[in-house]
Order: sequence, then structure tokens, then C-alpha cells
Amino acid sequence: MSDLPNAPRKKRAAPKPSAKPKARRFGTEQSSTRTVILDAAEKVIIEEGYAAVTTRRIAERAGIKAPLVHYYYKTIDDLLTAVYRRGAEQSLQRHAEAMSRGDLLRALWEVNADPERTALAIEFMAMANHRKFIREEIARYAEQIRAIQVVALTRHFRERELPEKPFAALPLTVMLASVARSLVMEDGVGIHLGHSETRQAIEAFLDSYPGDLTGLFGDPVT
Amino acid sequence: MDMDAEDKPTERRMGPAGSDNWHAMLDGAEYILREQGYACLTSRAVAERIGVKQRLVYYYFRTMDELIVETFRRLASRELVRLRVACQSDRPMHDIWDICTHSTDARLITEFMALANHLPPLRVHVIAYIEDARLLQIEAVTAAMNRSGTSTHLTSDSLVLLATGAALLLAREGQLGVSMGHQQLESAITDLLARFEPA
Repeated sequence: MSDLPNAPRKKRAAPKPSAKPKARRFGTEQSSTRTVILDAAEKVIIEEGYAAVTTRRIAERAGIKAPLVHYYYKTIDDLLTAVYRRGAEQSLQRHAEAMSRGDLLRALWEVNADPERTALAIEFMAMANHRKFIREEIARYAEQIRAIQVVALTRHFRERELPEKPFAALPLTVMLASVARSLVMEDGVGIHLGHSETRQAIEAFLDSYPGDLTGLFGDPVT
Repeated sequence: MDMDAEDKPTERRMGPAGSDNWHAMLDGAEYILREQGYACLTSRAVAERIGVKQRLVYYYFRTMDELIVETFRRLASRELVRLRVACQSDRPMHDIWDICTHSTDARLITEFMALANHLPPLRVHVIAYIEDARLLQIEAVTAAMNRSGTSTHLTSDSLVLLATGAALLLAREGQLGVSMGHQQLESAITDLLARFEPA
């Protein structure tokens, strides 16, 4: 992932001479420090909640000096945005790989139902309720993911001359995303009631698509 | 969470649960959660919101954790009452869907889900509530499906999860300003419900 969005806007004096980044020579060191900071922030968010993210707390977790955190991320908002973007970039990457799979419907379900970072996602959703910059990030990312899925599905349907029934690409992606999110979020909290039935129903539907057009929402048998 | 009063031994006199002050404090907590987020939920904020002294909060609740749990429990029992009414209506599937889509308080739910990850006593209640609600819904939907004489490959369990999951995502994304595909999914679901419960 590019370091660009996180780059300090202005060159400021580094708190320690050794940490002063010179574009080339210290490039690697710079990005590894960033990684350490982002990893630490992620852990604090997951374990203690987003409210616990302070420069001092992150420095403690990362085992570095607080001014160094501030050097890379001028504000906590910058840091939180960078944590979010890093996760989003990784998911986009995973999506890109999944979208080229032959069993696209299965692939789509699997990336949606990936339980990784669910606790982190819940924190960002809570944050988004009250912080505009995160809300905008999440909205942009959600639309991007949905668009990628719709494009891939539409192509998939067309190439295989599959009918779009019983679901067009767009509502299908929204439905899969919503069920998958609910399942993994509830799993994370410890709720499993009805989950295995639902997973089975979805997987049977996806595997038989479109062979069994009565699939999920198909014509009822009267 | 501030816990300044937590280590006080328990036998002290407490303000009565269910009194006006008690409700006012829960109202205040709900407001703060919804508008400012769980990070801002302190006894001081609650006291300021409802115009009482901070110490009074600890007369009604031993700790802030207790106040949070009570806030959730009150909200949950309110929701369960509404759900029971919907389950007993002539078109339970439609009425349950209606509750899910029109009154799902996505903000509060997200706050409590986030809090549940950090607060084990709350988690217990969140789990209990979601399971209670789901059981009610499954029971009503199973009966409605049987009455209709219609069937799909969906079991009532998965239909309930599909619908509640969809409603939650629509509400949550709506808050974010995302609406891509929402209308299409909503009409797919209402079409499905109409098969079981024709107008």
C-alpha cells in the first residue's frame, strides 16, 4: 500500500535525529515505523476501544517515544484514518483476488464472510456515528467494494450466459454483504442462533446457482 | 468508563430502580450514546445532560458499567414488547420487517455492539436479547409460513437472519449516506414476503 496518504504534510524537525526520514535511505525504516505504529493502534482499538487511542498509549504499545507517533501522524484523526485505510486497502486487495475466481459467487461469499478484523470494523462503525472523516472513508470504501462486486458479477453472468434471475447483480451483492456482516458480527459477540441453517441455505443457493432457479428467493412451491 | 465509585462496599442505600430519576439517567445515557458515542458516556456527561449533580448518578447506579447495562436492558425490553405485538398481528412477517427497517436504531445498536466487546456483563445481555428476539421471530415466521401453504428452500431461521441482517445493513449504510442497491434489495424482500402474506 502507498504511504502517500499518511505522509507528513510538512517537513518538521524530527524529535530524534536518528528518526529524521531522508526520502530514500530511510524509506524502509520509515515505513516499518509506520507499520509498528499502525499495528499498535489497531491492537489498542480492538482491545480497549477507539477512545483509548492517544499518542501516549500508542507509543507505549509500540515501544517507541510519543513524539515519534506525533511525527508520523500529526493528529489522532490522521492516525485513525491511516489505520482504517490500511485495512480497507488490504480488503480491496483480497477482493481483487477473489473477483478473478471461476467460482465467483462462492468467492464473493467468502470475502464477505471473512471474520478477520470484525471487532475493528465495529469500532470504526461506532466512530463513524460521531466523526465525519471516518464516516466519509467508510462510505467511500463501501461503495467501492460494492461497485467492484457488481462489475465482476455482471461480467460473470454475461460470460456464462447466465440469467440474472432470481437476483440481479446489485441486490445480490447487498444481500450477501448484509447476511455475511450479521453472521460475523454476531459470531464475534458470541451469538450463533440460526447461523448454521443460514450458512447452509446461502451456500446451497450459491453452489446451485443458477441451476436451481428456485434457489433462495425463487418461485415458491405451492 | 469512569469507575470512581466502584470500590465502595455494596450495602449502602441505593436510589430505587424505575423511579423518575433512574429513568432520566437512562434517557440521558441513551442520548449521549446516540449523539456522541460510547467514548463520551461518563457519569459527568449524564449528570450534565439531565441537570443533576454527578454524585446522584452513583446513588442510582453503583458503577457506570451498571448504568450502561441497565440502559441496554430497558431498551431491549422495550424492543421485545414491540416485537411481540408485531408477531401477533395478522401479517406478522410484514410487521416484523416493518419494525426492522423503520425503527432499527442503527446508531444505538452499533454503540452497544462495540461496548459489548469491551464489557463482559453487557455482552451477556446483548446475547440474551438477540437470541430472545430471534426466537420470537422464528416462531412467528414458522407459523406464518405454515399458514400460507407456500414454501421456499429457505427455512424460517435463515429467512429471519436474512431479513434482520438486511435491515441492519440498510439502516447502518443509510446513516453513512450509502444507498447503492438498497431499493432493489428492499423490493426483493418485500416481494418475497408478499408471497407468504398477500395483501
